[in-house]
Amino acid sequence: MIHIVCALYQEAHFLITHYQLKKRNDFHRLQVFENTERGLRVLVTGVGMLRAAMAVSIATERLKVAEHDLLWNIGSCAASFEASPGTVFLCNKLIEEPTGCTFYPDILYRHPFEERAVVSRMTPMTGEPEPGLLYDMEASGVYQAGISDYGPHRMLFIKVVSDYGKGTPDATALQCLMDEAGETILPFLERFLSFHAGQEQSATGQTEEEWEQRLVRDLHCSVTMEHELMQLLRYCALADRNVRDELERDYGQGVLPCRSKREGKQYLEKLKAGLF
Amino acid sequence: MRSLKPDYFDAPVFSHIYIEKEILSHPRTRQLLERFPGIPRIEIDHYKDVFCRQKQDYGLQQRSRKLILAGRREHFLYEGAPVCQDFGNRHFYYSSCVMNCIYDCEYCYLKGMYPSGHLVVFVNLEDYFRAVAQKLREHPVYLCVSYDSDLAALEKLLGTCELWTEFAAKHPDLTIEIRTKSANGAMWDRQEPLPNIVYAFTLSPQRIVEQSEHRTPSAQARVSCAVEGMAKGFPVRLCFDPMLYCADWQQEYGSLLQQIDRELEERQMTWEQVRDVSVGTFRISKEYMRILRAKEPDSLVTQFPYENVDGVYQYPPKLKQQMEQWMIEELSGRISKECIYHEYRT
Repeated sequence: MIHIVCALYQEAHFLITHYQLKKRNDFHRLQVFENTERGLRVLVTGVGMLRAAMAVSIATERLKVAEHDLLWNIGSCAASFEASPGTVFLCNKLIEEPTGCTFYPDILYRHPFEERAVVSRMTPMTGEPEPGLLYDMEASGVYQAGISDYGPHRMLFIKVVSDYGKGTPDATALQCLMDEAGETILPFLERFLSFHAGQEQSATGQTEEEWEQRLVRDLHCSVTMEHELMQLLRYCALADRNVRDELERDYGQGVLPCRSKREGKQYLEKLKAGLF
Repeated sequence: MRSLKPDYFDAPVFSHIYIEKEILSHPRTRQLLERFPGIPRIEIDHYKDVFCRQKQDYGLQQRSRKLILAGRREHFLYEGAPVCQDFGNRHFYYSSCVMNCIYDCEYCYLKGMYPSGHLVVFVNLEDYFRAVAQKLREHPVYLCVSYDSDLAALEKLLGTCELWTEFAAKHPDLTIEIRTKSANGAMWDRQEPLPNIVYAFTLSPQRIVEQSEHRTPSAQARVSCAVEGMAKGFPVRLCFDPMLYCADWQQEYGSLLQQIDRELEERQMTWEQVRDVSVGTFRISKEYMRILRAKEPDSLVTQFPYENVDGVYQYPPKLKQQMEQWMIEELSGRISKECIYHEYRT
């Protein structure tokens, strides 16, 4: 699943319409739109880093994060340099203005965007900003709320230039701008969605797990012995060594289950010694 | 994401360069940056801001490497670790002017030690030299400079081996070991052989290279490079350390020894021209192994059911002894026993 955080509905509009996302009614502090078949969820959080952080925390807690889930932040920003409105940037450095803290998302994937640093402020950018930077109000909040679940390699920050600190576009103009930028962003997002659609976690077979647990019981394993046994079974599986047949034979001959922990320990040692 | 198509990853040698603000104007920084025009450069306050972030994915990072240029402020020398061989040297140190390696060996302790797969290069080598020179005033020093990286593999890019060689030429009391899995024959032409610079080649059978030592040169290439160095008068150490278990390990390591025999024979050389050899089976601290196993869940080497002996994971004693003894016996028929090192301080 890819979770995309947008501050405003107008910023998320192109995603909601393109992927026909349905609104969930069980969230009250943020708006959640999703298409579970495509593996996409959009969180509309409201403006500001605190709202963004709170929304990510709530969503993460309630929806659970799977091992390969991604967290993206897509939104508009101001630029303190020459860039056409609607230009899309990928942020490689997030500077939180109120604290001075800096964060670095890992840019591990090929992408079609130019890269820049973004400064996250509590209020919209005005006055004389430092040149060469982007200015937003959410990125650092999303990063900090997401880091412990997603890590720096599963978070991306995509910003679309909407203004230059001298007045922001109205809602209609912002939506138009973001919809247009969507034409650049969507093909990039699509690559990830296609991959995620095909990626079903292959859970360990229930029977295999039950068989292992039975073995743990039948060897009267202590915690240490259980670790040793599991490590041994894992290695055998990787090395294509079929120990299960051997053990089943011992079950057949009454060697297993062991009668005591001591016997179990001896059996485990014998098993190990026979392998190498 | 690990199984994303290879072209999803930003795959050039380095896709981004992070640079500490403090060393922006260092000549070595400027030199390095010139070699990577057009790559995004990101200024940072301290290398740890990037290198030590929480929850990084070492494996993914290895598929899209970043270069971090930094200045080392302290800890230029460390005392040798007990699991490392000291080759009879009393004052055994190692230094780390580069952190991480361009190769991807499944069993590498760096994966257990470092939170990040990105490469950190400390540009202020002069400070390392000062620290070593100071230590040399107290006693002779045996210094391993390529433990936490593979400097010879990076030589074309960094030229660090050459700089250490120049330094060692002025300090006969200093013996430097440059450990490598590379096969960079060009380095033999860039430097003069010195008796106190030892090139130590870690050798593994081709099967192990293919299975566990990703992106490293083949066994044959490493052997050829090592023998070429010897032929040109460089002191070369051959390291059968770590020896790794596989079902037919005797046959595999036997073939490796024969490969070396053939290569020496072709150049009309003998094992007597090898400076020394080291023998040791795989071992790693319990703490590193825990992290390594999580990072390499499908690796035969890391998932082997090792035994924990005083906090160090190693092969079961019988197997360990069998492998090491076998190798020592094989080597004893080729090189004098005094040149075979196999005891480490565990």
